[in-house]
Amino acid sequence: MSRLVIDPVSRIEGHLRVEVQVDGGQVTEAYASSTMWRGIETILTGRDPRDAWLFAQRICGVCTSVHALASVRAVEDAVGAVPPLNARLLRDLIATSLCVHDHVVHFYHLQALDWVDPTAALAADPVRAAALAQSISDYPRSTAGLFASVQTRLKVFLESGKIGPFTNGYWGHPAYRLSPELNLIAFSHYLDALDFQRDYIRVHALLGGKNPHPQTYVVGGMASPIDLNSQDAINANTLQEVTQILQRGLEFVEQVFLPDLQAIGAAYPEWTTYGRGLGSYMVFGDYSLSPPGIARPPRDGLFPGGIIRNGNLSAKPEPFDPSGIAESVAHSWFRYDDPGAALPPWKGETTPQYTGPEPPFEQLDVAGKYTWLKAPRYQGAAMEVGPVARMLVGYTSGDARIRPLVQGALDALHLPPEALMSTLGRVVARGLETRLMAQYSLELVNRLRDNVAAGDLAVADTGRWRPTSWPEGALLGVGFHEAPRGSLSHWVVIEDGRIRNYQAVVPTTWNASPRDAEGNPGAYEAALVGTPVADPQRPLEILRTLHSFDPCMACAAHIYDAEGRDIIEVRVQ
Amino acid sequence: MTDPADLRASTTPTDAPVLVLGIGNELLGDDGVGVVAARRLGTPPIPGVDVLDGGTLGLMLMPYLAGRDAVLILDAVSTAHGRPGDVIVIPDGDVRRGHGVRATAHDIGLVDALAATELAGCAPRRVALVGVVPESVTERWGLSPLLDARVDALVDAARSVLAEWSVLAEEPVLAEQKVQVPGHA
Repeated sequence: MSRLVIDPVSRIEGHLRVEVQVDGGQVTEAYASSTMWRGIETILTGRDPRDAWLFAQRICGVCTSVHALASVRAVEDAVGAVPPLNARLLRDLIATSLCVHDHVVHFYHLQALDWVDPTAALAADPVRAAALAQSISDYPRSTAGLFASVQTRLKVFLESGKIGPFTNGYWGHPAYRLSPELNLIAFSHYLDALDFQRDYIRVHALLGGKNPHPQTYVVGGMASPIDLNSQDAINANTLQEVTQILQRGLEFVEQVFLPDLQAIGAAYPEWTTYGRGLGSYMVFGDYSLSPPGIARPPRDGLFPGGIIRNGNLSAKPEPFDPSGIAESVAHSWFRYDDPGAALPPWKGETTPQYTGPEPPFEQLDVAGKYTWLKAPRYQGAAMEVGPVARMLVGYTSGDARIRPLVQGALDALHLPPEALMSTLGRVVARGLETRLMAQYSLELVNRLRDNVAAGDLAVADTGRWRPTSWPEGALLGVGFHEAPRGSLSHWVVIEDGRIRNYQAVVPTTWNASPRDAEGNPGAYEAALVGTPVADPQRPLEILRTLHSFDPCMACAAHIYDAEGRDIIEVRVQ
Repeated sequence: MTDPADLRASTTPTDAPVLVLGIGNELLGDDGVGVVAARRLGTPPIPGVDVLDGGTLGLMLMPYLAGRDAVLILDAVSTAHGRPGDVIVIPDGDVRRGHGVRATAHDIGLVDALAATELAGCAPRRVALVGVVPESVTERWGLSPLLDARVDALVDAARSVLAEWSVLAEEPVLAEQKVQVPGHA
């Protein structure tokens, strides 16, 4: 029996540590820990709530605008501001384009390398690669000449020794199973994804102003004027350019991303049986064209809200009830006045109390407190959030867009819906969602153009801008958003025009949650159990399951043996 | 379509040949010094130079780096480089190899993002990092008094690098020059 610690799991900002016990070639126990605290809650207390989003967008290095959005929604909910349709469309357009961009980049930069071995592509025959690529997609960049030149470029790069993103890969690991030709195709698409990325981020610049951190949100709407005929506003040219970029993005998703995903999925069928985890999923719901309600998520949108419990995909999901969320700190480095309490976010407390070992340390005290993440629970139960939750809730709800999209993918891979509750299922669901979002973003831009053309130029509700216009007493507000990694909520309590309490319950807090007071694990912890580990020195399989969640933090994993000896510490950037 | 204003409306931040990129997290006290310095350096704007707040985007910075002539990074650097407040310049090759660059997640992401531009054949020709040793990296908005007093020195060092790269004109840019925000002029 051995224990494995992975550190860091993702190539992205933050610090996440995973400790796993390995016994008989598979993971028997897992603990997820965040070793860094951002303290946004204490930084915001006492500030003007209208500024909160500017701070909140710094919570995550990658998802800047999603926190801006959840934050302005929370404050609008509290003070009663209603953003007009143009503002809601602009916000959703920025959010959908971020999600598509994020999913594509994370697949090719991060998840794909768990399944694709670029070093194996050197042995590929470019002519056969071209034939294979042409058989699975109409993508025009599938010629033998192109694949040969990509292969040469890869060879030079690998021989240079400065292999940046490919450092620390387990190249040549027996768990890599794609043909050399498929490896070459996927690597070629990794390069094309870099071009896609350069093109696609311009949507944010065109709509959000200052990139990469948007400056155009405002409580009540957006600060970017929109007028088809004005030179000083988002105009017809802007929207035309945005449409062209979104169209090219959709083509990339349909002709490159999804065929690659299907080819990889077909090559690793057993990964639909690993990494199931909780089997309980939560979706708030989002991307609605209707005006927001009070203290609830957007309804009747692209993503229906709902709760799936214990892997039951045969019933319709339960409706989501915002009052069901509460957070425990039984295993977190925080102090509650009542240590055993589970506090709803409006009553949340953020008093740090680090009791862990002095870094650098070998092992966490997992029986006690071991992470800077709280343990959020829904009606007492741990929940998984993210694309797979959204696709499963949409599927079991019978949603008119999501059900056929998911069914088509399942049919193509000859899989039952239950197969989505797995490591590979998360990866596939993210791809399906990317297509859905890429299509929807085009609908949004058309709707925006039509609405503005009809004469509606309103981008903000300024009636509730001045604090004197706000209701008396303590104001409670919540902003829900379905962010790329899952269900995000910001909770604010405003008193006398200032923030009295602020709590952000982020998707990775749900998924990377520690055990709660009852000892029930979070989603990562549950999903890792049962993951096979052929070679504890090169735990590629563990990375597959962790990366399937798309962790937003860099992570460290440590493997321990039965005596608690540190077998290996793995740092994966 | 030929009205220059039309073109301005579609300007994107990937246009200028030189990029100054402030990185770090302002929620972590002195960790955000690069972002603060970038903001100061970019006001008023410098012709031919895009100044961006890179935050902690890590690998997601790749598209902003791609195709540039030169990239100057502003960041907090490791205490191995001196005492808090010391300003240092890390030269091109060291940045690309990650030598001397702080071993935090966002810096690792930056090195990977630079490597990705090389792999894609669109790497910036010149790269440098101007950094300052932080005093306290902790959950706090805003710089420590010591670092706050060193932002001008960091900006001056950055201007020297830009001048070496022959980017800065001899004449100071007029303060009333209109700030051009990409996407909506």
